[in-house]
Amino acid sequence: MIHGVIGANGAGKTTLLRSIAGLDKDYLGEILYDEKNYSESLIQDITYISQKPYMLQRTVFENVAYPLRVRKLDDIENRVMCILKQIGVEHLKDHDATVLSAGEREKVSLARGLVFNPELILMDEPTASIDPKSVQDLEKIIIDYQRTQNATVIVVTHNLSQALRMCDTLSILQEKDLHTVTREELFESIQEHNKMDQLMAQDYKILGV
Amino acid sequence: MNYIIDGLIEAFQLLISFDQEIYRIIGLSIGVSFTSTLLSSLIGIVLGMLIGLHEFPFKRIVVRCVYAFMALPPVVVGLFVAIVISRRGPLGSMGLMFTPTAMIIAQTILITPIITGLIYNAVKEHGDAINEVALILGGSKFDRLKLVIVEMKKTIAVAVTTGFGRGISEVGAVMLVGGNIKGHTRVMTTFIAMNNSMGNYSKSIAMGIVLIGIAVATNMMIHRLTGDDV
Repeated sequence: MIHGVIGANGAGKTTLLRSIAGLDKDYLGEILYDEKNYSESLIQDITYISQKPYMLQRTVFENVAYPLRVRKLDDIENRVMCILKQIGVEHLKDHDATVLSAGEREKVSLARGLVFNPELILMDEPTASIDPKSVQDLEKIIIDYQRTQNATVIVVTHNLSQALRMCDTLSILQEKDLHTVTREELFESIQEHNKMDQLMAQDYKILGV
Repeated sequence: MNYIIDGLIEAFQLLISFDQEIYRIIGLSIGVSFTSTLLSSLIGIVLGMLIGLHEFPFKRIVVRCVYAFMALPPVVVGLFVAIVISRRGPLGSMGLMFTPTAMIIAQTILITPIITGLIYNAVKEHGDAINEVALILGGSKFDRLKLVIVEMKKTIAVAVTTGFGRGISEVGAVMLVGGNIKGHTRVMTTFIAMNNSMGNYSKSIAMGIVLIGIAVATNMMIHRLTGDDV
């Protein structure tokens, strides 16, 4: 399933995702993965695509190949070229990844995060810096990947329309409280108030949270 | 102006003269500075990374000390080392005074905080991001450390070059602990200082030009090794 997390700036969405990814450990309580506590071996099946991805100082190809190399997987050339073509950045394969535009970095980061077929994908505003046409293409890639691999995707987004297009369920994070809504409830709320253009300003009021 | 031109001519003559003493001086300078830079790099790179990547009690004080030691007065370091290794000092029995080993010790003490500070600064900025990328993409602890080092290689090159430059240009400390003994502990910088005080400006300029040439050549070599095309 694809689960969306929305909330105001500073609500803790990124912290939530980083905690699930095992990058932040300063929290109370437990995070269970298939009823097991986090261990570093679980990281093999998790990918986290951050808002401002760090590009390694090498080509795009080598950036995307990196997770395959550290996992000692084979057929690296084919797997990398396949994912680069899917994402639509194969023309950048020999480019220095550190000089890419913000949108290109996000696409390469997505390719790097999916190339090893993870089961849990955590995305922090994955299309924030991408042009509208590419946003649609990437959303389709993420949805197709989730369906074919039966992966679990948790995506943080500020874009309620995107949340509606992509997500099966939604959580709203507000004042450290997580409130879950379905797509149908979200759609009804938006329709009822018919204020699509004002969603960014009044979104939480609209949702009645 | 004449003595500058004389210096240039003498520099060329020095190098093609195959004068044993001159080559010994150049060789000792390179040997002492290279050894002290190597030791300082091994200590400084590891320390800088450890301090940059980890939180621990009194970290702030440690960092302040590193920054303070980057500006250690060389002659004071030389004095400290001389006191320790002199005959009346705690390590007097080792007979290190007026030896190249003493010069290496003094230079290592001077260079290590410089390399540590430069590495720490860079790792503080980018180390966590690199570490996280390696972790989230499935790297082991070794992979993560290796990636941080590889990603920081240009910074490491700059730090090592700066350290080497500091070492090869050192006068005060090596004069105190080495004694500028002909054929034994005389290096390029002490040769320059000695000839300058004797009024032999041409010889000083000549050796100065050789020293600059070595510093530039070493710099270029280090950056070439790290794949830096600039």
